[in-house]
Amino acid sequence: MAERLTEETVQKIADAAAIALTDEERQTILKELQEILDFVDVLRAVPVDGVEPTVHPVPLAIFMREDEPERRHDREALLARAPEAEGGFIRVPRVLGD
Amino acid sequence: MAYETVVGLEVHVELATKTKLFCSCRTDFGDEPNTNTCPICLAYPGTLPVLNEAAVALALKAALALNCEITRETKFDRKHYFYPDLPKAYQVSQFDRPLGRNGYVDIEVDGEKKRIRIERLHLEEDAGKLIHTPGGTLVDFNRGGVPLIEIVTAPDIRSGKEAAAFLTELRAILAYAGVSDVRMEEGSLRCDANVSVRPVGETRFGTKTEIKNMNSIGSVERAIEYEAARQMEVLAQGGTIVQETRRYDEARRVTVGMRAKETSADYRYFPDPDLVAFTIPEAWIEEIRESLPELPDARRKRYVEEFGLSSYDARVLTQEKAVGDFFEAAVAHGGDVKAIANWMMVEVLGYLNKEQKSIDAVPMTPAHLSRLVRLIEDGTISGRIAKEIFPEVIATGADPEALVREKGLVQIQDAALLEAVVKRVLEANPKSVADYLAGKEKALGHLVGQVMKETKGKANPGLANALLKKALEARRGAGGA
Amino acid sequence: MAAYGDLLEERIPDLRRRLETGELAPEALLEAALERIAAVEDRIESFIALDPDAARRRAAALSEKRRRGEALGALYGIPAAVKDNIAVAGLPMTAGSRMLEGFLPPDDAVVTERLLAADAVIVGKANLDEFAMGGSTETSAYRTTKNPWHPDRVPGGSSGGSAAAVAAREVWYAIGTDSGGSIRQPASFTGIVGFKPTYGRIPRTGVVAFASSFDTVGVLARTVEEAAIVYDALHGFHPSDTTSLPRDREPVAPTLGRDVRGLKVAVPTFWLVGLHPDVRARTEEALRVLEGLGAIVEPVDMPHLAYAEAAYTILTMGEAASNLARFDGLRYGRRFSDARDLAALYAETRARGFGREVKRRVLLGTYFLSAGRYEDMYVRAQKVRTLIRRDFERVFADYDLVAGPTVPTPAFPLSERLSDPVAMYQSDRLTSPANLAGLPAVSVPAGFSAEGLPIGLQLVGDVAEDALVLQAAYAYQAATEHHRRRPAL
Ligand SMILES: [Mg+2]
Ligand SMILES: [Zn+2]
Repeated sequence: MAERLTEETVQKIADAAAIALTDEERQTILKELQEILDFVDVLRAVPVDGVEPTVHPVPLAIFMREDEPERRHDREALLARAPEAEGGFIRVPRVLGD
Repeated sequence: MAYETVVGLEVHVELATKTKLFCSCRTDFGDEPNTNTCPICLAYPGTLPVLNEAAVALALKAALALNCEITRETKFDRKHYFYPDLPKAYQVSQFDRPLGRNGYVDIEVDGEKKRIRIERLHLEEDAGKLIHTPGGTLVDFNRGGVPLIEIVTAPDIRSGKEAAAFLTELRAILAYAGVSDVRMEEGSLRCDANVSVRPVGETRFGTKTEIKNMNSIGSVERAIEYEAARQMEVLAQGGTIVQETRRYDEARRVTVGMRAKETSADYRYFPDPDLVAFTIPEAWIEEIRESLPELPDARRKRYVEEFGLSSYDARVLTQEKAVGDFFEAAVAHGGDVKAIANWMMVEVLGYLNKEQKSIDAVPMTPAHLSRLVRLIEDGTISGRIAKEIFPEVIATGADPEALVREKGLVQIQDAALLEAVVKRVLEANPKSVADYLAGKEKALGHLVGQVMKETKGKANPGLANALLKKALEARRGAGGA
Repeated sequence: MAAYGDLLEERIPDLRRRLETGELAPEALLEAALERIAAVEDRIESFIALDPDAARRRAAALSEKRRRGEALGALYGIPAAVKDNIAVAGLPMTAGSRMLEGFLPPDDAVVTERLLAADAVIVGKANLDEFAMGGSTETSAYRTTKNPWHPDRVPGGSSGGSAAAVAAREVWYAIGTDSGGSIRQPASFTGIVGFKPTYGRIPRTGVVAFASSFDTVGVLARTVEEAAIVYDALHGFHPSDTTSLPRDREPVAPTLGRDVRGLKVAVPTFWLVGLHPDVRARTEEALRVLEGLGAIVEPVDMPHLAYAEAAYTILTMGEAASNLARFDGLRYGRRFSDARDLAALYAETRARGFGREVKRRVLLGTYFLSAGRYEDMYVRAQKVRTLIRRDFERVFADYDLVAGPTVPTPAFPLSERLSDPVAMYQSDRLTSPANLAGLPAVSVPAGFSAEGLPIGLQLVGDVAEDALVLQAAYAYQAATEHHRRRPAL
């Protein structure tokens, strides 16, 4: 049987995903997530021992780039898209130094 | 109770590629902020990583130079955490298939040899740089996406000194291999230390702390020594060690707790679906293996065996590849190997140290050094003259031979010329002559000094000595007359 | 219908010939499309952004190109829509999310570059489910697209805007993305052709990632022939997407019309259960048409198809949680928070920037990748993905194609499934297997329900058998008339 979610688990997931939840959202989301967890629980019935996991569905050959610099973008044009930029830097709320 | 220190190091080294790991932005250090960025390294929606072949090649080279086994079937994984220096909110790294495994570095501390095992070496991308100001934190992504190798040692290190020896040797190996410019001050080599202590004889590990913010090999050594002593003190007082991250404060020479280690952060690693898992061809590994230059350890052995240098001298001369290269080039131009080695260690390295310069930055050539040594050997100049003109030779690139001639510094080898000087000196120093004849041999030294002074240092000191002795003995034979 | 009515019903190859001779000007064709858009857009709401002026400049430039006597591309002058999770430089790209409101992508997507290199005219950005997560286009933060066949029905999703724009004759073709059916399901719901190539055939560069190992760029058009012409202009490896595949050995469009006699078609028994009766009936009829063309149609058992939806759910949510982590309000896009505390800024921005469905998937994806669940859920789903691929491999050892309905039901009513995520996910159950296995698949119109809603037939080919899929679909379409019916608008 699928794991029984608790509000605490939901909050932990939300913290890891960096998504704020109101108390009410936490409860509705819990219900919805639980439903989906119950739905995907059917996979437990599938014997998968010794089966290789698939990452890409089709065979792909590795392609690597040559180490040649290329510059196609202007800093100002890129920084103009940032909500906060200053003197060539992107600005964010102060974080504690480490 | 007696305790022992247990240290494992995690070293991040920026690879010497021209471009980033997954985009074509330059990796140059010190450029204007965010000028080396693009939609890929800023994690714009729709962008995809394209692996830099040179980064893989350099990482493989590093792994081979550090005696690692190569994981031929390899892949990249995503390591997730939110932080403003990490644009995708995941770092592309390697989790369960690191490029290199089970390597080692041999070190020597206080004449004792020791092997430090390397558990893994993997390829990953660097984060951006944060600058903290009162008004907020500023982010520069020039460094974001620069290729790094992370090297993790086994907990084989037992002191700050061993850690320093390991880092010194690691740096030398990586520099020799041309993998990185390994400049700790520019952040192209960074080191964190996991430190714990345990009673001597205990086989289990104690609780460890992770030490960060060490900006030189010396500070790594000091930080580990401090931290180990601190932990022993805590235990001696009956306390327990808290697993945490601590910052080294170089100014105060202490470690300071930053935060209790988050209940083991969950990075949610999984294989990056934007990058293809791949097999490294055996032929590529062989090609890289063959391209490896002679590494410091082999070079040291050769210096001892081939040149007859002491193992200490061999170590000093091989620490930096360019210094060893210079030394060998000078030897190839001729001259006594040991004399050249001494000049390298004392005068050349002393000068570089004083001037904070690298050997590539001085105008003097190996041929000049060889010539200088040979000028002493063939008696053209004295060692003293050589030392006098050396600063000019190294700083301006002047040919020592031309300089000697130009300045008229050629030694007086002509006995006839010197005999006149000797005669004058003996006449001007009756007291010393008397002393010598009375058995005070020391007086001879003073007289030699006077000859040198008269000739402005150009007299061949051996010849002056011989001539003085002969003249003095002649006086003694004359019955003191 | 206005004076342009006849023009709107013409097919791309005919238009292309008339444009090449100069009998028809790109400007005139564009005006026909813009007039049609003006007439129906307020009822259908296919587009998030329209830029008629830019399209007009483009049409004029193409006219000039012809006057200069230059070679003209395969899509010369034909108006198109591009799903709004694909970058078109100069037009905003929202991916249907508030998070990217006003975001201007600095570069064209590779697929856009190739469209433009083929001389296409892009009229606007089509509506979609937010970040392509949904099957109804209702999770878009901007508007709800309606099904041109019935104003109270969804157009399907997530490429619902693309599908509706083609079905409503606003454009001749549209570019969409398909991670679990997002091209084929809306094509089925709106009575058009939706082609999802083999994974990697069209590079993803410039396409906002939902689930990287599933996301496939493809084509929506009114006929198979037109879909093939567009596909030919777009497919092939690009060095900016190292998961992309080389070009097909030869262009597909000229190979259409190849005989399908003797083609072996497998129909998974699991795909014929739990269907709406009209879907079941139309599917049976369609299979009989294929038999009539000389194909051999046989039922097969594919034991792991029953697990496709669950595996798809876990894997796409895991990848989505990771891919969408970059939307944090720092480097681009919107910031929905004044917090001076960074953790709060992230959490508030992502709480308000993402809609409900996206949050649901990101949260679950985070859960599936978390310590203690990863091996048991995510890796297990990756293994089930392998088993589903093996089911297909086994079938393709004996058969050329796998066939069945595209969706178990015709288009459902607006808002019916919005609050029932499990029911919504299950509408992908026939389409997601092709994404799990990376296979080329097409949905082609196969008739209508009793209520007059379109129903699609799905054909799935083996890896890289894109041409075969389109050849069979073309043969089917040539033998049927369903694609000629058009919605009364
Ligand atoms: Mg690391
Ligand atoms: Zn870049």
